[in-house]
Amino acid sequence: MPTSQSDEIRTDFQSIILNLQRHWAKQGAVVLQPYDMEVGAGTFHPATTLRSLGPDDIWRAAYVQPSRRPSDGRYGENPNRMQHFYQFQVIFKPSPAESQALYLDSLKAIGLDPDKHDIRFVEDDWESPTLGAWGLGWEVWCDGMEISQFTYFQQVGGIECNPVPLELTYGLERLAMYIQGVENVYDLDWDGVPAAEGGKTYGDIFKRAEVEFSGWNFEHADTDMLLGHFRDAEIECGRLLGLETPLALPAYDQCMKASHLFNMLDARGVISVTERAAYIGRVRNLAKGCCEAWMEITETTTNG
Amino acid sequence: MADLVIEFVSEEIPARMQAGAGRDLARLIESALTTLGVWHYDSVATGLCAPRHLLAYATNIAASQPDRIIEKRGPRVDAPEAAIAGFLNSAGVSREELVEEDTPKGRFLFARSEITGGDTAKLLVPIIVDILNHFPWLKSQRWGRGKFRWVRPLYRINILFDGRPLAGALDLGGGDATQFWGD
Repeated sequence: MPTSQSDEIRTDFQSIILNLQRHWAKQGAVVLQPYDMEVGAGTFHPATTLRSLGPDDIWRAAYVQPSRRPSDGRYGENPNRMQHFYQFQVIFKPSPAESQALYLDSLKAIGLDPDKHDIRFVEDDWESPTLGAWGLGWEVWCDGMEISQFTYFQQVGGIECNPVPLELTYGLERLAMYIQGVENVYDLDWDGVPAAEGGKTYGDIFKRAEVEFSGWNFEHADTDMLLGHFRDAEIECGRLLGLETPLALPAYDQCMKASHLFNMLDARGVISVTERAAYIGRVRNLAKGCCEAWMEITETTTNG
Repeated sequence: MADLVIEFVSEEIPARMQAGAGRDLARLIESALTTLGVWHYDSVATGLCAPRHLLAYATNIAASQPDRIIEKRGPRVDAPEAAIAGFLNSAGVSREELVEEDTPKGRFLFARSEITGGDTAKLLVPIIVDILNHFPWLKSQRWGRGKFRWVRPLYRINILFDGRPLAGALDLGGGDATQFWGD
């Protein structure tokens, strides 16, 4: 284990999450629970995507988001790559004046003293083609390893963000591996309880899931069914957006579904290179429509 | 003669932009001071950039602008009174202040006014605000509630001229979001 941790800060996986939640709650964030759908990243949670746009002048939230990227599965054999992992997501709108200091304080809260490590903010402009979103910022390196993304959103769903939100994303497994000093994600201590007393590692909890879901994602998922689900989600999304009073949130659920189904189809290898761009464009159109409907309705609600 | 130090403190400037930013700042300062007429043959501007600090210092700058005489040519001496009156109005001088001079095209009226050079210290703030508003970043962003764009959020501006800090403000376009320096 790195020597810099102070003894009183627990470094098991669940304590890292609890400490991050406590830190950001102290900064005035609403601590939310994960969104109950498959998404590729914490950014997809409506608390980030939609709330980055109106109506709240101030919006601060922090939450863990389980993230699924079907093509990153490695049957539990790769020490760093999984098709299911956790992101800790923070969204602060407007971006605070002391945002970098707040972030560095959060590292202290989980036992990483920035004075004892080489912390770098390395230029990394972020773009999500499926969400029609982009921002400028950095990836944050700790002793040469990427541990977070730090982004000032400029646009979401093709709409200018005003005020500008700050998004922080911590890769929890990577961060925990570094803090615990383990080389393999499956060796992570989840609960701080000794194995002899029934304590669990990350592998105890998730290894079987990685093996089984890799098999499903790559080999067994019924592609005709997935294609059908994609079409259904796309049609339903469009229908909800076309209502006289569009239902932005339910429509956005369908958009998230379509995005994940596209990722599944991609993992199954049934989407050609040329089709890929078209699918991404279709999801982007849904996301754009949802963001516009969200803005429209919130504006009406605010004025009414 | 005086020295000028300008420092912009921001969040981390992307590594690939740092060296160029230092050069750009020095170049923009030199060009602005030349336009003001306070740049000398032995003036030197140097730009420097670190991750969170972009700065420039310029040496041997005139502490005030030289006085200048501005000459404006009016109508011919024998022009109709209405034309002369119009010229007086536009030049902002009285009939007595006009002088007559021969030119290859005939005898003309001229208005001469002497402009007293301003204190460089007073002229610097608008020039620096102009540089901030037009700095050639490869990519820039907004933050907080502001409309102002910079490479990353800008925290502080420090200006030292002739050994004294200069006070000023930069409108970030977001109501209360204003950047102050000096005091």
